[in-house]
Amino acid sequence: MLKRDQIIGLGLIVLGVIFGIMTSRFPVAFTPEYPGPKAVPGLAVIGLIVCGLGIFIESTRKQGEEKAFFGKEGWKKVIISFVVLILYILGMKYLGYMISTPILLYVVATMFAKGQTARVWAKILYSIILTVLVYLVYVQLFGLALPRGVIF
Amino acid sequence: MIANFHFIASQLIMPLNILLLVIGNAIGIIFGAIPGLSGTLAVILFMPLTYSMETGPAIILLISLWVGGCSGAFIGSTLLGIPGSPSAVATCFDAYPMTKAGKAGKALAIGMIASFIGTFFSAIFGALLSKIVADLAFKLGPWEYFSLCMVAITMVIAISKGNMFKGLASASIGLLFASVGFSPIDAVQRFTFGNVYLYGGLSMIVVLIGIFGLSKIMVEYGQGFSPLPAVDTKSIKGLGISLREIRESWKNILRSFGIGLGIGFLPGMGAGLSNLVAYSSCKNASKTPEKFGTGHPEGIWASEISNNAAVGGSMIPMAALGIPGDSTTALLIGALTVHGLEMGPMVFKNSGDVVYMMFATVAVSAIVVLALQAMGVRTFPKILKIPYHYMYPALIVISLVSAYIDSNSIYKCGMMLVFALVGILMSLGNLPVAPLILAFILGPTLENNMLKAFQYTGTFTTFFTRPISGILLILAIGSIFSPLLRMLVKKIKTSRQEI
Repeated sequence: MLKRDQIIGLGLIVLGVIFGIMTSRFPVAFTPEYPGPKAVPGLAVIGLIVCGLGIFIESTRKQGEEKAFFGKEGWKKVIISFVVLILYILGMKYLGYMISTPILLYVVATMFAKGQTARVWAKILYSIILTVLVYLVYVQLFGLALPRGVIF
Repeated sequence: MIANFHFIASQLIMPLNILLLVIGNAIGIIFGAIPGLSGTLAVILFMPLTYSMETGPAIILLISLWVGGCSGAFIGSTLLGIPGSPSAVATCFDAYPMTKAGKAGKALAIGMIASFIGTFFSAIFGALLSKIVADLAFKLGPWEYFSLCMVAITMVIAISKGNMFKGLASASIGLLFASVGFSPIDAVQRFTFGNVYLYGGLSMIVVLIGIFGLSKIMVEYGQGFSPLPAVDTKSIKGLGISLREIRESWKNILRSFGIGLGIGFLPGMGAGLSNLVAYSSCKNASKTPEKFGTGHPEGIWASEISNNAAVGGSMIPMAALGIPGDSTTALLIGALTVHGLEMGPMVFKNSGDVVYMMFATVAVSAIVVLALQAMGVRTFPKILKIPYHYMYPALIVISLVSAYIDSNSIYKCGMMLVFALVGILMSLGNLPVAPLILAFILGPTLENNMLKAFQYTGTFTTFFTRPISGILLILAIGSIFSPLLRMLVKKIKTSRQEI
């Protein structure tokens, strides 16, 4: 099985190759007199491929066990939090900031408080107060706009 | 500078600006004190708020957050033995043993006073030196600016944690991100995939909060929040430091200040390096090096003076050259651009008053931070007790709201999630974030100057034949290969010893 750094190294190489192909298709040519728009992305692509290769080789030569980064449970938590945030973004789009934010705050506070004492009423109060506070600061104080939602 | 006094005074005595300064300092201290957060994160999160402000208040808020964050980092180091940010790593070595020995009050007092001295005087030196550097900068052409950008990026790679390949890979990703949108001079569309939201390039707020903020919270959640150790509040009994003790440390104070200011001035370097260099040089110069690491006040003086002196030091290249001294000044350059301020030698001619106000804000912030810390010394343990399940959800909301207000578009919130994923993958691969930040922000300046230089001379050799540019490029190449060179020197030494 591949080590973590070997996967990262290969990932960087693949990324470099993909962006390298895209860079080669830019219409202005690269010449020694004027490198044009291909130069900086080209430099980055070379960097990605060389570093990816370096990371891969170093990791292959390195002995010893790797410490787990997340573990199965950790990945599950991260995926769930991504889903929650995607739902929040959709919530902001359709329901608006004022409805979706307290729900998000309550859900995330509950998720993050797992294993610790956090009273339900305290989390509800926290969610409402913070939502209003952010609204007051951003909208009332600084005159910025927050999503109003398309349903209401 | 004197001519700008009226403008500076009028800005700094405005009630709204005073309020912003105090709030910014207080929030900065909290962000600096809590391990995992930092003054840089505070600057990123609050940056979108400043878009709707006038230039003066915007600068005051951002700088006060930064100064508060730099100073507050010693609180976590002293009370928990965990640095609030990389700038206070060396502070842990002696401040935490002092706390364990029941002298937390004294360790905190040294941290506060050292932070004040470092920040305040570096602001004064910065204000005096930046104009001189700016005058010299008029002699620089696009070749030198390109080389300066290269030095800033490669230096950050050289001091990044982990190996060189990872630092370089991170910088390469930053350069790719900086390439998105229309290219300078030729206006060629790059990596836009026909998406109108990408035509103008990637938003700094979206990329940086996604990678630097949101991903960090998710990684910590995935790994499980580690509870912070309890703080013994009984050890905070008065400050217990006398003027005589400060006077006795004057040599160390001067040396550490010089190191902090100098390292801060170097493009790409900052407080993260200066505290370690000052600590080790203080230890080397000491008659009692064995005391270091056991709760020796000199160690705290060295670390805290130098990391705060880097504030003024890093502002010099930022103001005079438009090249950031560290990742936070890189962010400030970006934020100031939104307000129509292009940092560099011309800024002294066009907006000299604003530049000097920046230095004045740092100096005033140093005083306010000292006062806030002296008054709130007993509340420090409470700051460190803020539960993660209340702090992080708030930061998530502020992050996504910041993405939205960047262009009043929900699309940007989605984009921020993508960059949070990039941040998680970078953490997974242990790729440092600082090179990405610097390369992403400096990318357009680097490319612009490189293309201009080629338009003038049509050859790359000029980059090496112009003396300053040549030296800078050699420095940049040298810093990339510095780990290899160090390894080579070590091997030669060992083989010589064997002979």
